[in-house]
Amino acid sequence: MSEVLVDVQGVHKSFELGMTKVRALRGLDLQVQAGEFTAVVGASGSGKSTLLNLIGCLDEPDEGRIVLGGQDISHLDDAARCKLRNRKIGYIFQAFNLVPVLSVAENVELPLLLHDELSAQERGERVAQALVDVELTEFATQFPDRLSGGQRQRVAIARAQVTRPALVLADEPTANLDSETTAKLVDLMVDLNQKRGVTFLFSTHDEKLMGRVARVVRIRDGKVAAEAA
Amino acid sequence: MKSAWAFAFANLRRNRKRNLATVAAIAFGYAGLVLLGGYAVRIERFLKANAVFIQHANHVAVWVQGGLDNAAAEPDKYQFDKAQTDTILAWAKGDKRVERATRYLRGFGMAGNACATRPANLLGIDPQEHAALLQHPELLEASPELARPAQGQWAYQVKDAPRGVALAAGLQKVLQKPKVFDEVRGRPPAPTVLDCDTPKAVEQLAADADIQIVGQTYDGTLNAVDGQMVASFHAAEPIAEDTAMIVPLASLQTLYATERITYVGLLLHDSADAGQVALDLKAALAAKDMKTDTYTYADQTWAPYYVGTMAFLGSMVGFITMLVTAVLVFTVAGAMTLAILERLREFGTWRALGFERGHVVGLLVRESLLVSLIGLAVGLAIGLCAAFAINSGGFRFSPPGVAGSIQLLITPAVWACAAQAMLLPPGIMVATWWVVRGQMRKKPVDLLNAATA
Repeated sequence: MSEVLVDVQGVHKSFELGMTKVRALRGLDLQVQAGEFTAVVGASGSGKSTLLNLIGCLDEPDEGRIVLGGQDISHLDDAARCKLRNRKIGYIFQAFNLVPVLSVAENVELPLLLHDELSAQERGERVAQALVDVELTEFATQFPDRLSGGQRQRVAIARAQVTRPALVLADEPTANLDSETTAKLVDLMVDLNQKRGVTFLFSTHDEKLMGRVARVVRIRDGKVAAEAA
Repeated sequence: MKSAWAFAFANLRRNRKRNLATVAAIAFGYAGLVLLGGYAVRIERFLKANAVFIQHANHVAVWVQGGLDNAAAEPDKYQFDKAQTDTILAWAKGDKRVERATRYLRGFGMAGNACATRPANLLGIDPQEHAALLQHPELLEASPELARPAQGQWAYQVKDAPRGVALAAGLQKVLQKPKVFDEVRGRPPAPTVLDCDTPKAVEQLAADADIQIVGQTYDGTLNAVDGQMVASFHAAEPIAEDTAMIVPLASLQTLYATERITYVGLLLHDSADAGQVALDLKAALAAKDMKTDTYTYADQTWAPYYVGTMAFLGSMVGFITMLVTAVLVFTVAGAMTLAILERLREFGTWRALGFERGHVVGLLVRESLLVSLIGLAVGLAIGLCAAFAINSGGFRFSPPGVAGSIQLLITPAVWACAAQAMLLPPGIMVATWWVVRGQMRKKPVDLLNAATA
């Protein structure tokens, strides 16, 4: 039996929107096993992104507890959260979030700059391997504005897994892509999950992707509504 | 991977128009400071040369103790005798920092034209020593115009006028002597007795350049010496314009029947040594039982016009510099605020990838520093070109104490440019840090979802 990588226990999260208080998560529980490929599905506003932000240490829960790799990450200080994000988590964003003035290889190398234990040569080797994985080796010196949407998101995937994180979080990674590119991208993530054993947790509202993922967690009104394998 | 600096530089390409506008603001502001500093440096050199060489402050002056206040009233008591003068001159000759020493005798008297007399403020200086001052490279470099008389030639330039004197232009006018020695040489002399009460007097007075100087010897006897007006000049202070007269030292000593002098001026190879030389000289003379006061050209009591004007100029330049620096700092802070707000999502990404707040702040501070350094470099080039253009333009103006006009020159000094430039980057860095720090307090998720991104 594989170990639990992510354990979300009774998490609540609310936001103030003007005079209105929005309860995004209402006592949500979720466990993700190491090496799993999990999709979090739900309507807009259901709390998918909030859940991923909390697991990814980009935000803090109001109540409840989140354990990542055996460590309670609910209320760490900023330096510890930064280190955790850099070492254990990879991010793939809906809008790619590449740095426009950096080349493809430089974008992928970015999180490795905080790995003092790696030499420049080792960083270069890791970047090269990550680009091979996403089939973008020939674009290494290009800048993001010369790439298609699918290529940019592949760069983001390479960047997310170049640090060899325990968990890759992808928030609506295919929302800005056409269906053909979306399918290729999901296949790429599944392939990386199977080959490298990277745990993927991604949110989507695209029901067509459900058949391609191992586990689907459906969220409604800030709680897990249903699960399917 | 790019270094942090290279990355910061690359980011400047993002908003070229805004960054260009920011660089232009810094460049023109700094160019203005370069010109202002260059003007102040030029004025300082001019005023210093005027004080040291024309108003005879020299770099260091040594007086009998209390002489500056009392020599006029009690010259016999507060002036150096021959032996004391020789002691000072010997010390000056033996000190390698001293370029030359000049003896001065100050006093009062009456200047006459055979019809009338007027009060005169007399300065006695040996013509050859006066020549050395007026031909000094530091003076000629600062402003050759200062060395020229308003009319005629200085005594050392007129070989056949052994008692050549120079009158302030106002005194020349009231004595009705419109022509100097050179202009009346060889003409028929005026009658021995002039028709002072008739209209003929004007013509008779103008026929020669003879001046009589009347004074009281130190033992109380009335005495007089003759002089030939070889030159006229403009005094630095309007109040001296009707009374000032430069007389050969020997003539003035004859008038007062004395060998005494009022003070000795020392010109140094390097004016920066003035303070130490003044101390050393005072100590050396004290060891020989001579109680003295020594002054430098930067001493308010000795050279008040130079020191006071420079204090005013310094405060004015300092105030304007601070004002311009503040405007530039706020300009850059405004531009950086816009840049930061536009890039919040990117900073959220950096934070998501594990970079701490300090990394992002450091990046933006580098960017603002690069903008300011580029602006300063461009501003320096603009300032130097503008200074060259102004200097080539031949603009002239008439400061007090100068015969005619002098050229408006802007002479930027390395130290002044550097001092002004050094104010800007720290200010801009602090302003950027302050602006960024506020935004970086936000949680990464808020940066990633920022509406302005």
